[in-house]
Amino acid sequence: MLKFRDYIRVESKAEYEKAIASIEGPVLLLAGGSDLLVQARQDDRYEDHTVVDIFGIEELRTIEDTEGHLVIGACVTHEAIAQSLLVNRYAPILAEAALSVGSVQIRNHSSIGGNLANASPAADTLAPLAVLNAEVVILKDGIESVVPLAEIFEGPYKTNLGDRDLIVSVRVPKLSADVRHDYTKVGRRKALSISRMTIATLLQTDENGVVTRFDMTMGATFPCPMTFPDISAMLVGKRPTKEDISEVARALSAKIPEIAGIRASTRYKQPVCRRLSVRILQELIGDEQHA
Amino acid sequence: MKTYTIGKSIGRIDAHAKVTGRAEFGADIRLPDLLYLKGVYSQYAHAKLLAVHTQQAENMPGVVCVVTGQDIPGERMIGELFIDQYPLAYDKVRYLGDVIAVVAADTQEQADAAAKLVTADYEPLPVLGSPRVAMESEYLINEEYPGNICGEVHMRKGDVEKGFSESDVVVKTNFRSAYIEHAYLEPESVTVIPSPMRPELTILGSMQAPYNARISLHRTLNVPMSQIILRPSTVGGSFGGKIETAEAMSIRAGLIALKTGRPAQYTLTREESMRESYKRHPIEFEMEIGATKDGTLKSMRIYSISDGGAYTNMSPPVAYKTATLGAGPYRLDNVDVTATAVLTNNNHTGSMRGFGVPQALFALENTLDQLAEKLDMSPTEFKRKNLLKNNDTSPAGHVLDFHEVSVLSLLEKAAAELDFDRKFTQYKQENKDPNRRIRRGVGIAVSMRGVSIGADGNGHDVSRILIEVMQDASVHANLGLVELGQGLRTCQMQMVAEGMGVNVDRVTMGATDTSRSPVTGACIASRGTLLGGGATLDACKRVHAILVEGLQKTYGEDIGPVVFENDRVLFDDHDLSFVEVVKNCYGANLTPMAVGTYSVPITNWDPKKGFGEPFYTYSYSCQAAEVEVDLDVGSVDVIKMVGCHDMGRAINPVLVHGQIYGGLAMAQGMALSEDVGHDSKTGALKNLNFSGYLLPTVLDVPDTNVPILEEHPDPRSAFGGRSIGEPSTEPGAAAITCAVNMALGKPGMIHELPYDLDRVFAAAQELWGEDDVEIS
Repeated sequence: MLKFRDYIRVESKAEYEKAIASIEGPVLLLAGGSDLLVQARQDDRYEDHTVVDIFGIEELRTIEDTEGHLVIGACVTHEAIAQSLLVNRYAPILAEAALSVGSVQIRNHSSIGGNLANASPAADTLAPLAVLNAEVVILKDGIESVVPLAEIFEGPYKTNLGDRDLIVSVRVPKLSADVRHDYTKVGRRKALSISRMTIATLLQTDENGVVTRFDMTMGATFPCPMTFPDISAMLVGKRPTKEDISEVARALSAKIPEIAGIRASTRYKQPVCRRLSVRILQELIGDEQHA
Repeated sequence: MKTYTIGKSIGRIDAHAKVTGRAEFGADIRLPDLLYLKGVYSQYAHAKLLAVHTQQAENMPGVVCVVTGQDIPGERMIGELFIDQYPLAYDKVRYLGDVIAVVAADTQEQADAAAKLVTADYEPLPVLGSPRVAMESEYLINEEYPGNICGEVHMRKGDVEKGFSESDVVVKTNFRSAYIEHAYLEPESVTVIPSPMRPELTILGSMQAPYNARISLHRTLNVPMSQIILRPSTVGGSFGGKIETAEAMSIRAGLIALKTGRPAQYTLTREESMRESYKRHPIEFEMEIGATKDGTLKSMRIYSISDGGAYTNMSPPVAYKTATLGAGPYRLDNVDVTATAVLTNNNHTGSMRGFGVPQALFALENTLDQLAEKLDMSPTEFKRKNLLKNNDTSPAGHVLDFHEVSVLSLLEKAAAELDFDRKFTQYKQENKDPNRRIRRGVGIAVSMRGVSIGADGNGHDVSRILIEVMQDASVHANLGLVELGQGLRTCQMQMVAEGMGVNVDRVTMGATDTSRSPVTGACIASRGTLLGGGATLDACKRVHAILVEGLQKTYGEDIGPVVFENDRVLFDDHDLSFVEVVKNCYGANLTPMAVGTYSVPITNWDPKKGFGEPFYTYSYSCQAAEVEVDLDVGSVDVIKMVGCHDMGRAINPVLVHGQIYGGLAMAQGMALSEDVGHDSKTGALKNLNFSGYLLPTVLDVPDTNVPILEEHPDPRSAFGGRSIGEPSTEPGAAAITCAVNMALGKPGMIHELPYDLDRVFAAAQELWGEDDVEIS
């Protein structure tokens, strides 16, 4: 049985700010509930928490197209992201990742902000947001600020956000149409599967086949979302050869023991990462691959 | 035989109530003054239970009482065949699902809160977390079972040593299966209602075997059987799983209902259900099989050890089926199978769809594929040469001269549907290329399923039905076999209509109620159609005799033979409506009502020698699978499965299709993804709900799966039907594994269940894992 101290539903950011000012004791933000309600079933950990339901705040449920960014409200659901024309156009890798979350029932009740706040290393959107260089808009003590995605995470299931800090939106720089992408998810079944590993890749080349942008990272692998400038540098400025691809795959998969340490899963994840990376890059580079 | 109702896919009688949400499941029941219960689980998998402290819980708001094993007035243990299970732990706990106390309160929240305050004193004992450990331990989980061995069954024929010496090729293998959760959608729920008039209990809820529960309730609570009434609610799936657990819960709730005089409801959460309920047996196999170079099977030795868990439950009869059916439907002169069951401090294991045979076929068929490869034969070539035919003798020694032995025909149909032979050749060639990272494979597996309990229950396999024809000529059947979702009651209704010779819309099926339906055993062991059908035919004959007696009073003694067919009654030169004949019967002050009884004939089985006729009759099956394996990830994609089955006669073909679709999906889960996360150090299960225990989803199960029926009505069954529930899932995991091993390029490579991702990847690495797989 779920146990909470109290439950308040707010309809706007202003109401939210008013509500948290008057609440005594710890606050728990409910942004759909696909993680929170599951965790609340385990024990009485939230017994003294006041639930503030922000899922109905309209301002947090829109996707806006600004000059250089898509601004995705924190309470936009994974299903809405997957179906959004804007996201499919300007950040299609994110739309694909959102579509791979859970099942349609879960996607309709899980939000991108909630997914970040829960900070599960296995969250499907984290690797795409990392390669997209996404930023997060935080409302803290009445002030909104923009921080890089990686900065809010401290470890698995741990952020540096206070219980009254609100993720307002996620800012995703828009990709130009010639950026190719791949999102690969390894799971034990085709739906309702917690990722064993995800790989997110963005690749852009010029008319000569020279790589102008390359970002690749894994999810469900590291404690926090990671980006790897050293890996990017291995291809940028080059017309990649087979050997280059092999080198990238080797270097990227070597990050697993390097960052996450050697675990029981390393024996699986490291070689699988290497093989999938080769496959993904071959696919993205295609005919431009050089001998 | 011309039939009017059976063989037709009439709509299910429970469909409307179920799809409109009106059907009442166990946890839907609400009653005035209802108490809600919460069980307290043991903290140890193995310990002496010294004391249980309930005072603090009893003082909590809303709590009405707390019961422990000390409160049981009658015998303390239950069991269907072997009485060794505590419904409430008394002096010892044997696994983490043992319940040491139950709290009853006015609300579920109050019961949950109070249950946390129950404590106990234990003296921990070593956890015997696997059969090997238990067999070698000086500790006994139950004093009655030396060496912790709770069952050992043999099947022997010929001389295996001689057979191996005559073989040109002999393969030896090891296989191991895992726990499987039944994963019924509805967790267990029982409600016990005490009578205000007398010591009488009415038990509603989700249960598979009400007559078994009646015996246990009688023995533990000292209530006469006539005053224990079980009326199962709509059951949301069972697959063999709602027998002993539901029974133990009924006793706990019954104890509270008697003590308080209030109705008591006891519903498990999914986590509690996974923790407490029994599972499918994990079994280890050592196989040795020999053949001559022309591909003739000569000799087979199988040694299996199953994990019985904390209580004997159904382990010996499960071992009986592993032993007597584990050699498959093959012609074989020399065979020696030993199936041993061992008690451990794990979840007990018992009845589950297939009952010890899916595991055995997984080991058998993958070993046979290895043998076939050594002989340079394809799996189908090898099977064509060795499968049983009419008048052959089964591995156990049963001469199959009494029905059509159709398994070879099933093999041909399943192989044709999958295009097995062509694909086998093509994929085998393709898979020689080390750069091919996504590979395809096909696998095919066969089975013969003993119908009903078998000779280990010789003489005890009985069913009964009460059929009453009312004054308006409606035909009411009271049958104790429970509808578990498989469509049993629709099929039974069709058989009643056929047997009575009336339109099916005259027939109504009474809700299962032990106070109205005579004792009939449980809906288990592929016995519903054979046993229910047999009792129905007998009851119809008896009711007909009464109706004929009425006709004789009116039309004279010498009316000759009377035929009841298609709602008409024919005799002499008369052609009367059934309605008229019923009116006539009541007019003569007769009662057209009868109990029909059927018992399975005793078969000639020698349990000491392990030879003879282990079952009365058999269903035959062949399932085939095509898979795609990604060597770089270890993922397995099932592309298509075919289930080709001879269930004798399909009483309702659409319902048979439903069983096959479901059975194939269940087999897929067993092979690839279902894993309880058992820890053999502690006896604990990690995956206590469906986010960790991974059932295949609708996206994983191919929508191209094909059911094929081949019907040969069985002369040994009243209406020709045998069974499909268990056969439909039996060979599937074997077929998928054969296909995966073919894709990997080495039969028998994967030999442990389940095996998606890591295990397949490791196998692929071992076989094809040069460090620098070059990049085509």
